[in-house]
Formats: sequence, structure tokens, C-alpha cells
Amino acid sequence: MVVAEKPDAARRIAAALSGSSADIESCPEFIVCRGKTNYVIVPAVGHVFALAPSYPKRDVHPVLDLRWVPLSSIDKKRKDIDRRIQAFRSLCGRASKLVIACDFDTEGDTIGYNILKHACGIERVKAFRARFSTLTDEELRESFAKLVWQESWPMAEAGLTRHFLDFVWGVNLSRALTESLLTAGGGYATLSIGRVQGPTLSYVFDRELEVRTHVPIPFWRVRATLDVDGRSFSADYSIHRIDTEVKAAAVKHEVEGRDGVVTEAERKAFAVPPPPPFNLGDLQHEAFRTIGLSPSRTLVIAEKLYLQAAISYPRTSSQQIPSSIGYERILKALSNSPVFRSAALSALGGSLNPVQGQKSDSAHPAIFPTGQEPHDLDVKERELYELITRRFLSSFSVPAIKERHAVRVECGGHEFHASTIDIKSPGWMAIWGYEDTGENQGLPPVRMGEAVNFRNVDVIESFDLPPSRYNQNTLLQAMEDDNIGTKATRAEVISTVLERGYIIGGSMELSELGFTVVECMSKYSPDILSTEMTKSIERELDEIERGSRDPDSVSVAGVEQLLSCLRLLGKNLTDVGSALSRANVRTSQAKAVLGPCPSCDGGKLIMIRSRRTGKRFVGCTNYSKGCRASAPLPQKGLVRATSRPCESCGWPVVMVSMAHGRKPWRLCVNPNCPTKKASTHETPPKEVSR
Amino acid sequence: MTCPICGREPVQTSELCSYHARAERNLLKGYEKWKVAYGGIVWTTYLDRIESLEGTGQWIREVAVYLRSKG
Repeated sequence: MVVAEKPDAARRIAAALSGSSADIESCPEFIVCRGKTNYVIVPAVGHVFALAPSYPKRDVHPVLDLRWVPLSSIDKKRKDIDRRIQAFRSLCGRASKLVIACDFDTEGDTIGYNILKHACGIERVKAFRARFSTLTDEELRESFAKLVWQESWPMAEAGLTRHFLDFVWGVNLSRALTESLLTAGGGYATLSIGRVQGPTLSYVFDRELEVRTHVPIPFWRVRATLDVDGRSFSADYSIHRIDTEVKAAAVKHEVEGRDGVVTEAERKAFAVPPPPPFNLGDLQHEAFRTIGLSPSRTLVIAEKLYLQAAISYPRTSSQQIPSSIGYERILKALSNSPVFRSAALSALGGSLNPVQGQKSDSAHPAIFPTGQEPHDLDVKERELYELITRRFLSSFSVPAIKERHAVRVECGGHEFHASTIDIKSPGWMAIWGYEDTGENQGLPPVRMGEAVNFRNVDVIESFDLPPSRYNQNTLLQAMEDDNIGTKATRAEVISTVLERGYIIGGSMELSELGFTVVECMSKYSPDILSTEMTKSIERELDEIERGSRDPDSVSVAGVEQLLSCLRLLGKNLTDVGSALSRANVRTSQAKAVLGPCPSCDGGKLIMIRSRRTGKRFVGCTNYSKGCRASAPLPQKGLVRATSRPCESCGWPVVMVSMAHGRKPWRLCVNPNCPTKKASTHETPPKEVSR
Repeated sequence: MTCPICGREPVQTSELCSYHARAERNLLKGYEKWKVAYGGIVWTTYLDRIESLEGTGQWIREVAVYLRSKG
């Protein structure tokens, strides 16, 4: 019996292990695959077991006694889980050999281990492990030819400990927050905090303080327009930040209209090597930067591509691709695609020696295309596949050659600099295609000692800018840098703090509620915000994974820390609840405001729920003063304000998100918006809203 | 007593909450730097300009308005 992580993966394994499709028989719960060895492949659907309190009553505190239960007993909609568990249970008794063929990482091991332990009732799990990084036929066959017998499961133990700690920290602190709100009469709201959410929120809080208390300090720059042989170019004063207006004016006075002399004119070529192949973090950053995909969506799409066997396993830290993946085979396959043909052929003509990065991962190589063409992709999915493939192909290419042209000019004891960088040979950049390789205007050819005239000198007043607020990409980077969370969970944590309303908008502005949660935690449970605590737990989990630490000792230490936090919080429950209640109301009010009313002066359009019909709609705060601006809203899904009004009519634009992974869409709330009128006749309403 | 700007609890050394007290300190420090940078600037002119700048923090702006209203 083979335990697969997902139905798609099970189908791929069956196809790889059978001689032909005639050897495969499938039913919803398992696939029978006949060959030299007969396999019954039973797919999970990710985790089929989840942690739950042993005592289901919510008034038992703290919740520390947990057990693994079928997911269906927590989520009543997941009745399919019971059928799957039954299949594992009944088939394992008849199996001569058990193979875990889930994704080869901590979560995959945990899923497989839990199935054998809780569904099949095996107390001391001993089984074969299939280790693979892609779902291609070749690699799957090879991994089944080299199955590894395992009697100990350190990766699964690390996973189980992580799940336990995350659950007890998350559920106990979140319940404490929610109950404090009820105690203070603030009603019910879903509030949460956890050992990774805490430090993440803390980053945003620290940045928000800097932004909101920023005082712009003035400074001056001096820029000269220089003439030489009838051509002109710009040069900046060597001191980029002049701290007084008087000094800046003096520089202008002393050089404007005078002749200077070129003291340095240098052209220097330098090579920029190709970047290494993607690990998950790099992929999420580049996808955000180049095609505007959020980190969480990037992961979802990458998993889809993996399940289609189009790319290797995406949850990897590695930036290295070993030759064992079969460079030549992949490049030959990619050369069949018109998009990648020339780059793949060029790589095949080279030394097949790709650039490797510094970071490695014992379980998986960097993300690479397998050469199998993916199918049924939408635009963004196709773009992500192309990004991964271009990065892979770039790593086989030659360095880009750039040339820096630097000129230094002196006049009256003042020094000015000008420089440009030109691309002499694009190398890998031509394959990558996401960087600007256009020509610069360049500097005129000047020689050492040549005279240049300071035709015009500008003094530019500038002010310090506040630090930028985080976006999803930079927040993910901060989490990575401090090693909090895992490559698989970071994007999900960011999504959670957004969903809770702690952070508003794409530029990650901390809401009133976010401020209050951080304030309460820093006062009564500062450890939960501490990066150090989370980092130290991550280190201990790594040690469990390497087999050098006892999981129980890590769990016990984590629980002791939690209990001391809860004691402090419990003593101040009413104070915490009152503060959260006030903040919750203010945040809800702020979230309801969509933007200024285009029909009256000073009014704001807000989301209102009708007391009579229960339906939501848009109305103006100046209704009592006679403004009748109103508009309908979609009655299903989450509606959020956006910062930009409609370019066509000036009314607010909202973002509508539905459940079940459907992509959110922007909607101008004005029912009479000219863009809607124009498109209604041409396309069905569903397409318009998209 | 609450912070006259936002209604939060004030810190011991000020009538303002910790956030607005921090903003007030930054605003005063900034004034010293502005005086050096421009060779002298009147307090009210400083506040006017600070309020009009795009990079000014929200709490700095609120404190500037508050201090002006106090006279």
C-alpha cells in the first residue's frame, strides 16, 4: 500500500509504476496498479488528521491536552475524509509492504506518519519511504526502486511538535483575547495571535511607529549641467547631502558659469553572473516584483505546477540543482517549446554547468522545470511557469557584461561626479527578460584634463522620507531574514494577519486593532511578540529534525513559557478586553469607509447594512444633510475598500473576494459608471466583473 | 485624563499618550535641525511647512495641529 499526499500525486505515481494505462484500475478512494509489483495507491488530501482538544468544551483552560482526530470531526463539510481513512484502515491489513510516498519534507512525513499511526493503528511506525523531488515518471520509478526503510521519523516528530506548539500557543492566546473582549462586553470577534503571528505583527508595529512619527529633515543637493565640445551632461556634487541652505548656495555661487577640469574619466567593464535557480523565498519575491503575485498565491500556483509534474517540489530552501536532475534531458524537452527553444538550444550548446547558489536543502534541489509542458493554466499561472523556466535557463547562460563610465570634474575646489552603466552584452539577461536592458543616454567622451563649462547649477531642496511600510514581499523577506516560521507557512501567516483586520491595505498599515493587540501583548505577554523566542523554538525544531533533540523536552519548555504568559494575561482580562473592544469598533468603522462622496462636499461613502432587508449597500455619511448618493453592493463575499477611486467616474473601487480560491476582482461601486455601460452590451456580466 | 489628541492613556511625564508624546519629542528635535538648516526659522512657519510635507508622519501632523491650537 502506497500513501500519497494528494489524489493528483497518486495518479502520477500510478502512471509511473504501471506499464500501461490498462494496468491501472481506479476508484475514488484508491488506485490499483499492476506490474512486477502490485501497488494499491491510496491518496490523502493533505492532512487528514488534525489536532483537537481532548475536552471539546471551550471553558476548559488552558488547552494543553490534545489528540489527533480525523479532520471531518472538526470540519463537518469534510465527510470525504472518513471514506479515505476507512480505505487506509481496510487496505493496510492486506498489504505486504507499506510505502509513504508523500512529499519529502516535514509536512509530508507528518501526513504519512499520522495516517499509518491513527488510520492504520500502527503504534510504532515502520515503513518504506519514497523520496522524490518531482512527479515525473523517471524520478518516481527511480525512487520506488530505491525505497528507504525507516524505523525512526525525525522529520515527522519535528512536524508533530511544531503542530502541537503552534496549536497550544495559538488557541490559548487567541481564546484569551476573544474572551477578554466578551468579558468587557465588547461582543464577539475573531481575534488571534500565535508564536509566528506575534513577531510578524511586531515588525509591522515597529515600522508603523517610525512612519507615523517621522519628521522630514531638510537637506540640499547640487546638480550641474556641464558643456563639453557642444554636448552636455549632468553631474552631481560629491557631497550628496548638504545639511544647510547656505552651504549649498555657496557651492552654486562658486562654480556656476565657470570652467572646471576633468580629473578622472574611466570606463570599466564588469561581469554580472546569472542568478541561481529559485528557492521558494526567491520565487515569491521575484513573482511579486515582476508579475505582481502575492506570496501565498505564488505558492498555490507553484503547487499546481508541481502536481502537473511541470516543476520540481517548490517548498525548498535550496538554490542548487545537481546534475542528477538530468540537465540535458530537461533542456531538450524545453527546446520543443517555441517560447524557450532558443535559450534551451543555446544552453545545450554550452558547458551544461549552471550557476549554483549558496543555500542548500537536504531534502530537495532548487525549483526547476521538468520539461513536461503544463496544461490548463490561466494567464498568471502561465507567467509563473515562465518565470521559473526562464530563471532555470538563465542559470546555464553566460554573465552579462556591463560597463561603468565614470567622470570626475573639479572646479574651484569642488568636485562633481557623473556616471552611467551600459549593457555591453546582455548574456543571461536576454533570456531572463525581466530587467531593463535598454540603452542609457550615456556620457559624452571626455579626456583627463579637458575643460568643461558649468553652464547651469541647480540647488535642489530635499527632505528625508519615512521608511517604506512593508508590503507582502518585504514582510516575507523580514520573516525569512529572522528565520521565523517555515518556507511553507510564512505566506499563510501574512494572510491571517490581513484577514484579522490587524493590517489594512496593500501597503500594510497597522489598524487600530493591530495597535491594540500589540500593546496588550507587549504589556501582558511580551514573549509572544519576541523574535528571539520564536527563533529559539525554530532552532530546537531543526534539532529534532536532525535527530539531536528530544521532542518532548521542546514541547514541555514551550508549554511552560505559554503558561507564564497566560497567567499574566488572565490577571488583566478586563483591561485587555476594554482596549480591544474600543479598537475593534474603530477598526470596523474605518473598514466601512470606501472613500469621499463624489456627489456632495465633505461626505464619505460607507458600507451600510440595511436593518430592514439585511442587505448591504453603499450610502453617504451626509444622508441626513440631503445627500442621496447610494449604490448596491454584491451580497456575497468579502468587500474591501481600495485606495484608488475609479479613473472613469471618481467613485470608490472595492475589492470583492469570494471563498474557494476564486480570484478577487475590482469593482467600481457606481452602478452608472461609463465603463460598465460600455461593456455590458459586449460581454456577459460575469466577465465584466472579472 | 486622556490624551487630548486620541483619547489613549497619557504617559506620566506628558498630557499626551506614548505615541503622541514620542511624536512631540521628534517634532521638537526636528525644529532644532530645521533652525540650523535654514539659518533660523520661526516656530509657526516650521509647523506650517511640516504639515504641508508629504513625508510627515500622521502623529507628527496631529501634534503640530494640537500645539498650534494650544497657542
